Order: sequence, then structure tokens, then C-alpha cells
Amino acid sequence: MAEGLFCHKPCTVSGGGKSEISKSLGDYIQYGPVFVANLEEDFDLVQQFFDRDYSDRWKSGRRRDDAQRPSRTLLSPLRSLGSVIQLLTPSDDYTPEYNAWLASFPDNIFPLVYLIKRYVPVQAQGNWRDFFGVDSINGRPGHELKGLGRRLIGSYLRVGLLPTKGWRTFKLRQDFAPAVKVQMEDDITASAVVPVGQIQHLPAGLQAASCKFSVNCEYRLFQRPDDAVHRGLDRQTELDMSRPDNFLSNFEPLTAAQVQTIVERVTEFDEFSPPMRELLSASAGSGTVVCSAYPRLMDGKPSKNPRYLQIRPDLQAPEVGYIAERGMRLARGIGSRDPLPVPVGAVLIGRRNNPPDRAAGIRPLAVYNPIHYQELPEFFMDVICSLTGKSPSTTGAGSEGALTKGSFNALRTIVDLNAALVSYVLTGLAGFSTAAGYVGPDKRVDHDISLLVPEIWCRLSAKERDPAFLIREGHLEPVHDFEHQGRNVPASRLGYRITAKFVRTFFGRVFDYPDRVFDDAYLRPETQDLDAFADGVHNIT
Amino acid sequence: MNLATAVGIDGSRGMSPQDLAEVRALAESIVGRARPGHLETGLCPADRRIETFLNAHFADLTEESPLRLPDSLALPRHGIAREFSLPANGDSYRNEHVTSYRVRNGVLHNPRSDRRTTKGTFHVCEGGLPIPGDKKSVPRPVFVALFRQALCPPIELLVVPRTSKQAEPVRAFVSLLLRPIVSPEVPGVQPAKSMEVRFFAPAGVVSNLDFVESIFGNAGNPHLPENDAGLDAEHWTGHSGCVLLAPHLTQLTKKQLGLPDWDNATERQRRDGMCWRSADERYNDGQAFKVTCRDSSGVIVTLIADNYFGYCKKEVKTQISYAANLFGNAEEEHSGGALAFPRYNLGGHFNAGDYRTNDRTLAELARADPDAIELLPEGYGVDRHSPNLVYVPADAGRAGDGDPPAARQDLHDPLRLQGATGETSFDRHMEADRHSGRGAILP
Repeated sequence: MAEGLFCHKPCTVSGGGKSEISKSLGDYIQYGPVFVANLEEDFDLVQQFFDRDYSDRWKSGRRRDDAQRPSRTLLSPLRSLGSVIQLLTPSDDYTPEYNAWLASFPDNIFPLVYLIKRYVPVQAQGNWRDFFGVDSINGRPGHELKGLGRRLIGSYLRVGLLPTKGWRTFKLRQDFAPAVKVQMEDDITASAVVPVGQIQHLPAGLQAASCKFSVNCEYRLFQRPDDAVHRGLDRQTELDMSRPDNFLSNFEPLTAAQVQTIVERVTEFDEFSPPMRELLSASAGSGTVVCSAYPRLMDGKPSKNPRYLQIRPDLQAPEVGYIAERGMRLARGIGSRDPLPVPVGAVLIGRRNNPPDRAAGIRPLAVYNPIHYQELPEFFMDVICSLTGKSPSTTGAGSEGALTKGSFNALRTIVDLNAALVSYVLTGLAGFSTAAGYVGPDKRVDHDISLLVPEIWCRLSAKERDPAFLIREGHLEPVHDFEHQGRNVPASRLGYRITAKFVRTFFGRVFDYPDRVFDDAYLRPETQDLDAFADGVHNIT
Repeated sequence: MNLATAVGIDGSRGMSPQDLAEVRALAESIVGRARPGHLETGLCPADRRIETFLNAHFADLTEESPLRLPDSLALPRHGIAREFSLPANGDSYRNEHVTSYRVRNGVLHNPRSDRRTTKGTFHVCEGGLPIPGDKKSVPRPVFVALFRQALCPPIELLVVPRTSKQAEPVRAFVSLLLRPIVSPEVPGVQPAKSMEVRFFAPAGVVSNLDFVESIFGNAGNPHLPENDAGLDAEHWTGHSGCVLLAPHLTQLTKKQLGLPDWDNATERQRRDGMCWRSADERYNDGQAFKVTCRDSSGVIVTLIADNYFGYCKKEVKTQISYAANLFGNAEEEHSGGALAFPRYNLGGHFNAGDYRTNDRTLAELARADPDAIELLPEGYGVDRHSPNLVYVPADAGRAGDGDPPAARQDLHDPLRLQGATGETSFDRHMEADRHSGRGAILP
């Protein structure tokens, strides 16, 4: 889409997903085959969708198609894939009979419908079955769907990990493509707030009285590539570090002979991505080099603090930002010389949550569901403390200082807090927060939610991002104080949190089966372990 | 700002060989001029502002002998610090604080220890604004003593590594001018405003200047009027910062710096360790620290007794925060952020008309925006700056029946942007499709 959403992630504790907000989800999507149970039976069900007349689906007065044209068939080129997905997703606008008809089909049929819609050529609608099939395995039909002579591929995203080391993966909608992101901030940001009346050419749909503008103060980012010790895992770092002009610190200078040894161990060497392989091959036998997988040895152990300066991604690939700019200019109807203001559109702070470790005496801090909203007083209590859960390098929950600025302030923190408070009051930006690490004591999520939320948020309209709307419509529910073991648990400080309805409605823009992504254990973490939940709230308050 | 000369960034490419040759020649001419008696004389305007503040702030203590910033080799563009940080005819350099290597993929600087704590690190000089409770409070005469000591590093630490293998190495301070942003540009409303920061280091730790200029940009020769913030009221917040690296300060004793003994110390001094029980106790127990002097007049001066790179970045951050606090209606935020554009995979058919929000035509747009759009006879437009960007007319994709010509089919595919990796998910996702590699934007 031509207009993007500027997602701002301030006051985010370490491990809270500050840098994840600008990473592309594309690097995290898994690809896998599409299965059928029984090809002929499944295709008979699919055919029912193609044959149906959909003109009776609307509740009276809800019909949204502006033209009075007859309802288009599913395979008509006039109907987009997106409109087919909307058509086959239950909605309050449809009659109960129609929704019940949709519910009568098995789950695996819908992805097949979308897939066939996506791939079948326009001129071959009548004989679409001819294009799809399965291989025969040991004389019986297999289950892996093939089409147009190829194995068909679906895309899946991880949302959470299982205790058994397995992943929870969910199929992405056939019309989903990961958002294009232009990094705007990474660590040090300068911001200012300006009244809307002074600004020309703002994006449509803006409600606020004032807008916040933010800019990155840095041109290179001081990265600590923790994952790069595993060859091939952090491809971006391997690409960056293969440049000729790096600033590197706390790595090991590898001699020509050492590199020669690395290159000669072929099976391990091949785990590196191509740029790092090329660099090392070129260095073998001549000159010193730094390899991303070899941090400096300190007393025989690899340093835990290897660093390099990464050129800001938006400066390295300026074309993405340029195309984004052109899209916004066209959408707003302004030329290339007019001012193009890009205000902050959403505030999404990140939390780092940890489960209790009773053996080590570490108390839990994992009482938040995937997304919370807090009204300004509660939100501000939170950012003043900037509580962080235990991270690999710390021993328990602690504060990272007001607004996570720690000690890096030559004046008293009240000055920063005043400025922040005034800017929240003036802009009316709503304080949402997302969970990283754990949701409740049992559900490990790492950064899966940090990565997913910007995808959801940029697919919401300005109205849908408004907490008043979300609360009114039951997309957010308040957390209430309660009594536990004779003691009041002031859980209302946690504000509001997303509901099953939120997930069904808005995660449904990304996933085929949104209601399965987060069940009650995620949405109401107290159902996992009430003692741990109460202790977590006490730990905070 | 010119990214190539200020930060050494030119898109995805490295610096060109001509640029590198130019930087090398400049580095050579700067050390060539740096014989005793040939250093830049006279203060640059930024340094004058900083010295004026110091000598006013400490007027009662420095009457006899005013505080002076060190004479220094000013690095006028990005890249010279890197040239200085290694021998001209060698690939490694080592001193007490850092070991440096020239490697195939850049430069490697390993400081003495690989990480630092922030505990007990933050010291603030008394006088001026109140001192936050989490910082250590430093008596004014002690700051003056520390400042004077900062100007007298061990002579080996002053060696410019580039000249370290010469018979007579050049010894000097090196310095840098930064102009970090404090308040962003708001298009059509206000320009970006920055503060000025002068960064000084003994040449032995010039790698720290490479580090900070690579992050914040080199704002040019501080002696030139065009780089004087004082003559640039539109883009200057009016705040000046100064950072002086002095890793040798951890060797000094509390007594020598004039701190009181335990019996004569205040409660806070006892809490902060700003007093001694035995005369050989070292200041801050010999641990790394930084000490800041500032008041509401808008000048902030910090001595950093360590060469860990992270401290330098955080100090500039702290000074930006200070300037933002004094400037007003500006915040320095610890934040990540991205502009996210949703994408949809709409399949092989796309009707531009479904997404139309107004009546403008491509021809009108090309007329209104000739700098950007080149309209081709075939009826579509190509961007003049980014030829991968194609503009399609508002009726594109209305083909309906029949198989559209292959050339048009490309244009019907949804907006497709190529990321830094050169591959989008579409490539892997849509095995059955081959795209032209072009992105389309609708008028």
C-alpha cells in the first residue's frame, strides 16, 4: 500500500525487541508443502465453492458491493484473491445460514480454494482439476499437492515454541506478503512534537491535535551479533562483515594459515552464507581477516561482546526508502518538491518477560498477554520504572531507569519525564506494549510477537488502532484486581489486553486460522498458573 | 550532510579508490605538518565557547592559570581517523589500551578488556544543575585537577599510530567536530537542529574517533567559518559539548586530586567514595569512570577515563539528551522504529481501478512531477531516479477476458519492492511465477 505506518518503539528494555520492529518478517517465514487428505473428495468440496451463487450471503442492509452487478464467481478474473478470502471468512455482515455453511467444511479445504484461485490460469477455469494432482506412492495416491508440474508451497510462521523444542507454526494467508519496512530508528532518536495546524500534506485519516516526528541520530549501528557464532544463521551479519570497510571490535584476527584450515574443513565451511565464504576463500593463504563466527578469545574463551558497526540499512539500500516516498507522495497528491511529513503513527513498547525460576530464587515477570494497552497514568507508571525481566545477562527483574535511559542522563530524570509526558498528552498516541520472552510462565515466545505485531498494526485502519474503538467493540478487555490467598492483587495496573475477538478479527488478516494462534492460555496468562501470575503482579507493584 | 565525506557511506558501495587516495593524502599532509611548533594555533570557534564556559564556571579556581583545551590535529573529514589508527607501513599496532589490526574486511580494534560495567561509572561535577542521586558527586577543585591531568597523558599514548614505525613518531592530540541531531526536521515547519560536540583524544586512541565519526558523522574542519555552528543559527540548538578521552586518569590517587580524608568528608562523599582512608587509594578505586561538568548555560564537558567504544557512543547520546532537555520541545529517546507498508499478494490479476482514490491521470502526474516521472509512449511511466519503479495508468489490469499480453502481465503484479538482500519472499513463495523485478505504483 502507498501509505505506511510509522511504528515507534521507545522505552524498550534490552531483550524487548527494539530492533525486531524494523526487521522484515520475510526472513522468518517457513515454506512447506500443501497436503490433501483425499484428492478427489477434497476437490469435490472445493468445487462446491466454485459452483455456489454468493448473492444471498449478505444480511439485509449490509451489502457492501457498490455496483449492482451480479455476484462474481470465485474464479472470475474480476474477483481478487483478497476478495475470495473475505468471502469465505465468517463475518457479522453475513447471514447465519451462510456462516453455518462455511463452518460445515473441513479446515484444510479453504487453503486449497485460495491456492487454486491463485494458480489456475484464466482460460482454464472450467477444467481446473486438470492442473492439480498428487504423486502415487507405492501404488496409492500421495497427499502432497502438486500443480502445474510443481510441488505447491505454502508459507508458515512460527508463533511460540513448545516445551518439547517443537515450534508452533501457523499457515499464512495465501494473499499475505510481509510488510516492506524502512528503518526509522534503532537506538538514539531525536523527536519533536508539532501542532497539526502548522503541518501541510499530512496522511489522510489522522485524528491527533499534534504529531510526533522522530529521526535516527546515528548513521551506523553498534551491533553485537550474538547469533553469528553459528555459521550461516545470521546472514545479514555475514553479508555486512564481508565488506572491505568494517569497523570491528572484540573479534579474533585470523591469520592466513588459520583461515586456510577453516576453508579446508569443507562440510563446516559450507555452512557459511556465500559472502562470508567468498571473503574467507579470498583470504586463505594471504593476509589477516575477521570472521563473524570467531569472537576474540579472552583467557581462552570467546568474548561475549563481539561488535561491529553496521551501516544503517536504509542508507545501504536507499531505493526502498525512495519508493516508499514516491508512494506516499502519490497517495497524498503532492509533487516531489512539496514537504512530506511522516509522523509517528503508533507507539508499541516492548516488554521482556521471564518465568519463575524457583530453584534460583528468581521471581516471575510474565503477566502480560501478547498485546496490552494502558491508559496514560498506568502507561507512565510503567515507563518511569521500565521494568525488565531476567535476561541471560541479569539475575532477575530490574529497572532500566526512567524511559530505559538508565544512567545516561546528565540532568535529573524528571526533565525527560516531563518532556515525554507532554508529548503523549499532546499527540494522544496510545501506549500499547508487546510481549517478548514469555507469555505467562509456560508459553515461550522469544521475539515471535515482536516481529508479528508491526505486520498486524500496519494492516489496521486509524479507527481500528484507536483504543476507545477497540474497548467498545470488545477487542480489548480490562484486567481486574482480584483477591488471591487473602491478598489483593492489583492487576488493573496492567491495563487492557487483547481478546479472542481481536485475534480472530485482526490476526485473521495474516493467518488462515487466527483463532488458533492464541488460545486462552496466551490471552489470559493467569489460567496457566494463578500463583505465578499473582506473584508476577506483586513483583511489579 | 554529504554522507560520503561525513560518514563514508555511499549507498551499498564502499568508498571509491579515488576517495580513499584522497583521504590517505590528506592524512599524510596532516601528520606532515604536525611537527612541534606547527600545530594549528588559535582556537576554533567551538573550542572558544567551551573554554569560555570552563573559565567562567571555575573562575574562582583558575584565575592564576586558566583551563585550556589541548592543541590538536583536527580531522577534517571521515576516514582520516582510520588512516591514523594503523602504521602507514604495517598492519598492526599495540599500546597499553588497544591492539589494532588492518584486516581484509576493515579494521579490528580490541581494547584491553572486552567489556565494561556501568556501575560506579558516572560522576558529575558540583555547581550548576542538581546532581541525580544515582551519580557520584565530584567537588569542583577535583574536576579542575582531573581536567588538568587529562591534558597530560603518558607520552607514548600521544603517538599517532600511523607514524609509530617512523624514526621520529608524531605525538599529538587529535580532535573531531560532531553535529549530532537534537531536534528532527519537520518538513515544511522547522529544519533539523543539532548541537556541536568537540571530541579530543590522545592519538594513541584515535580509533575511538574513527568509531564516533562513523556513527555520528564528521562535521568538517572546525576552524572553517562554514562549519561554525555560531554562524548557523538556523540549524544550531545553541548547545556545545566537549569530550576528552583520558584513559590514564584511573592511575591518580584521591589524595593527589584533593579529595578529603574520611573524617573530613560529607555523608554523600562517604557514600560516593569521594574520600580516602589511606593515602594511596586511587580515584574511583582505579576503575573506569566518566566525569561531567555542566550547567544551564548550555555547555557540557566530559572526561572519559577509558577507551571502551561503547562509552563514547553513550556519552554523545547523553550530551544530545542534555541539549534536548535544555532546548525544550525535543526528546532524546531510546527507541527503535520502522515505517511499515503492508503488502498483499493479490494473485495474477490486478485491477488498478479498485484502488483509485482520485481522478488524476498518469499524464497529469508526469506533467506535474517531471523530475520524477518519465512517461513512455507505451502509456506507462518509469521513475527517473529509480528505474525499477514503474507507474501504471489507472485503467491497468481491466483486461477482463482473454490472456493479457505477457508484457502487461508483469505490470499487473502487486507492488513488489526489492529489499537489501535482493530477494523477496515472493521469489520463494510463488514458485509458479516469474516476476520481472519491477515494482509498480498506482497514481
